Amino acid sequence: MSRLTGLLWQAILPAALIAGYQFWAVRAHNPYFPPLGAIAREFRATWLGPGFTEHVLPSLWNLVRGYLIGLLAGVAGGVLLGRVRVLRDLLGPLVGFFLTLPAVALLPIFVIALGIGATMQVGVIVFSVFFVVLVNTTAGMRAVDAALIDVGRAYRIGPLRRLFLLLLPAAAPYIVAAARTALSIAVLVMVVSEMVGAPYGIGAVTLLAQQEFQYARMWAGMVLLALLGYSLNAAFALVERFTVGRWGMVATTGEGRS
Amino acid sequence: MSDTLVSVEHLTKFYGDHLAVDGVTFGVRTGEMVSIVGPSGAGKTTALRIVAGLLEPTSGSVTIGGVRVTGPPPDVAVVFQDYSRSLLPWLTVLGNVTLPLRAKGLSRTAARTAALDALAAVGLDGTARRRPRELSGGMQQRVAIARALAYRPKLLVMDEPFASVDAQTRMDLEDLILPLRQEYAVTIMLVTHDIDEAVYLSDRIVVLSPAPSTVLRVIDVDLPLPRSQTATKELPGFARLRHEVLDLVRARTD
Ligand SMILES: Nc1ncnc2c1ncn2[C@@H]1O[C@H](COP(=O)(O)OP(=O)(O)OP(=O)(O)O)[C@@H](O)[C@H]1O
Ligand SMILES: [Mg+2]
Repeated sequence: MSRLTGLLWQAILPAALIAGYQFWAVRAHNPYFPPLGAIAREFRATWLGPGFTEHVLPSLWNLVRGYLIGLLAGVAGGVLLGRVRVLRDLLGPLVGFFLTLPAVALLPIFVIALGIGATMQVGVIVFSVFFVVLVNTTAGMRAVDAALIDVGRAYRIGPLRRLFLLLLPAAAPYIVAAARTALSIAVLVMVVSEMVGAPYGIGAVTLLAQQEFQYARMWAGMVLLALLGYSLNAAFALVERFTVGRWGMVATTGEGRS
Repeated sequence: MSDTLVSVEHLTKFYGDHLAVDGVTFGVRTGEMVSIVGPSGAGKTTALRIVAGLLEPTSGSVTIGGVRVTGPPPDVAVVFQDYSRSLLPWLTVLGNVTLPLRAKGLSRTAARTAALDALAAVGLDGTARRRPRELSGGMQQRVAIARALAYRPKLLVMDEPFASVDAQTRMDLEDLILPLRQEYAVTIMLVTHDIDEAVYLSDRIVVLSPAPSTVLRVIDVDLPLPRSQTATKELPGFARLRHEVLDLVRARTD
């Protein structure tokens, strides 16, 4: 009951905003701000028809590939950097430099190197995810309690078990937080990468709609992206709850970037 | 049963240029329970970590069963002081106890059986599927003890294992350890700064001076077995030993 009331309370403000928008939009006849009905019609026509396989799926596929590759590479690199002092000293400054560099600003270079297309889009996503995860995994590995390291050594836990049953779970609060931050960055980068010359994809369609004065369609693109971002984040909250949450650990807010 | 299992010889440890342990020598016989007592900062943990192969001495040596310690030896188990940090919160109680056994090469079923036996021995039947943080402090320390016993070590080293539980739980854990010594045929080295505990549990007590620590005296505890919290602690011998250790520890701290 109290959970339901909580949800209702949370829904009040968004519902009021949407209702207010609709109330105003049907009267204003402002072409930039179409009423909800028009946006909903465009949403169905653009994203749920053939557009689903033509635009939505390719975008998501790039997102999934880029995100997973960046995540795995970032964790692997972070484990190495966290455990091997020489590597950390050697690569630390370089990593710090790339972390502060927004992937979006590097788009022109990616376009030159990889051309326009899925390879470039996936590449930018990988890049943007990799450094966030790398830096936070390194920090997480450094922060593993010395007492646990002692346990691993005293009981002669071999390298594989030590990594997967001891070090990675101990660093999980950092890694999970970074993975969550990286996911929203990846969605952003996915959209922007599709806005530079891509013939298909959610970002391409949304930008084209704006250039062709199809404002209802442009809004439908934004709604789709909002839904996507929101549901991915919610899915992640679940992942967090069933891993670090269940172990009584607190996800440590990761170092982010945009 | 009086052959030497552990021999610690001229152990010296510098942290930077801070001398923590200064030429400590003592031995532990097979089957014995030896306590190391000394004031806070005496270097007890340092000595114990060197014995467990977790820390390198600056000079001197430790041999266990005739083999010189250069890293954590396969037949030594450790119970750390801080149970809440030494158990893996993402594993179940069973997972915590089986992890070292699986690492040692036991099959899944053998590890499971050994773990359940050890958990039963420390009075924790029925907790195998729970996670450490769902248990009380005393129960968590029992899990750590079960993990050490299931490992079937020749030598069990414990660093103030009962320091962070309440007095009643502490007595329970002390009385738990005594019979398990026989059941698991294990030699025990126990660091404590509770003098009553040292006298109550030990066959011998090694008294260390404040840092840089040296061995002040090694005291034989000739109290009868089995020991009991009430009867043993009322014996005149208990009071005498307690007095002797206390004088040694206090004299050097002032
Ligand atoms: N990693 C370290 N680096 C520098 N000095 C240390 C380190 N560990 C311990 N020391 C110092 O060495 C001395 C002995 O420390 P140790 O922890 O072995 O004492 P202890 O007898 O276990 O003390 P306590 O009873 O408080 O646990 C202390 O003076 C301590 O400050
Ligand atoms: Mg200590």
